[in-house]
Amino acid sequence: MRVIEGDMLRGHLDTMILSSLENDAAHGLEILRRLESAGCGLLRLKEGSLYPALYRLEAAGLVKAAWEPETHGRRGARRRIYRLSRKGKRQLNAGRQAWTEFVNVVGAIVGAPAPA
Amino acid sequence: MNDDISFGLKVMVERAVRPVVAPRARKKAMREELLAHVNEVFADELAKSGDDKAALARTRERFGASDTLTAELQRSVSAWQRAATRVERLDWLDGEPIWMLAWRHLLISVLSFAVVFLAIVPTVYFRGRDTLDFAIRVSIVQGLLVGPFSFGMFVVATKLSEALFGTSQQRSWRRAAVYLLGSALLFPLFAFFIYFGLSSDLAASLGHLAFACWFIPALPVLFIVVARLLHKERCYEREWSSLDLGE
Repeated sequence: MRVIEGDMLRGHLDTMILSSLENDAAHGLEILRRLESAGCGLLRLKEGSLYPALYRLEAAGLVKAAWEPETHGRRGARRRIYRLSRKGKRQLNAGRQAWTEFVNVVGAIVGAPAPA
Repeated sequence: MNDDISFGLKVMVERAVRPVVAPRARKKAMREELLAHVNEVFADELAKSGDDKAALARTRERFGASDTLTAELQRSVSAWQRAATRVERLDWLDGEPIWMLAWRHLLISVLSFAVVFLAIVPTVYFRGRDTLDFAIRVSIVQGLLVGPFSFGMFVVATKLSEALFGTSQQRSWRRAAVYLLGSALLFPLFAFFIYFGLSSDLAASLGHLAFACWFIPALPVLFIVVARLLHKERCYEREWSSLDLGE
């Protein structure tokens, strides 16, 4: 299977991030690991790009963030732990709905309907 | 992790963050979080390859192009935050001549005069002219005093910070005592001139000056706290701005 990266990810990243936080809070690298693991290694995201997306989601009130108290030897650099807000949960459900509709419509057009 | 690797990771982060127009606190948070990320990625890659240079190259590759990341970070900064960076420009920057600071605070005076004049005077004019003279006086007095007062605060706080916490050449108890005296007098003098400018009543203004003098013991303490924070902030800014990004 082809690797999914760049433009193919655009527009879906926010929903994927929200989905990765659905069950548990996580810091940036852990979110990337979850996305990579859920994508069976076929998802390629430039890792720095995750953070602007997290900042946008935080500004929109979809995730909440808190600094980790300890630096764990990362030369004085702390991580931020992100968790899904209530608004984020609603947005995640809306995102899933939109994705299903998108797959149904585009799948029908390109002759690859979504499995029932 | 050796110093070269640590430097390389910081440069990787700074290349993306330095061009972003955002308040200092926001950029500081970006740097810290991104640095924590690249530190961890580097540790991961080093564990896989066992080679410092290969791990650093791989970290860079995973992190992405700095110009793309800069643009994405910039898009995450709201218009309000971008506007807030202008307020930070009131600060006295490292190595900047004092006249440039004075110039910026003069502009603040002119701007605050214009804002108050345009807001108050037409309102008073249309609602009844009884208090028009007073409204004009308010806008002139605050326009004349706001700039010098804010300029004085920044100069005293910066100089006090250098005299107390600066380099060995900058540190001086004598100068610190002078600036602490200045910090103690700044607010009472401001209170006096504001009241005198508004009322032209010298006796009542001296009464206000006497009242403001009650705050004198607290002001130097406040300025020492501000000077300490300013020093920490300057050290942090210097550490990052001195990184040679090699561009």
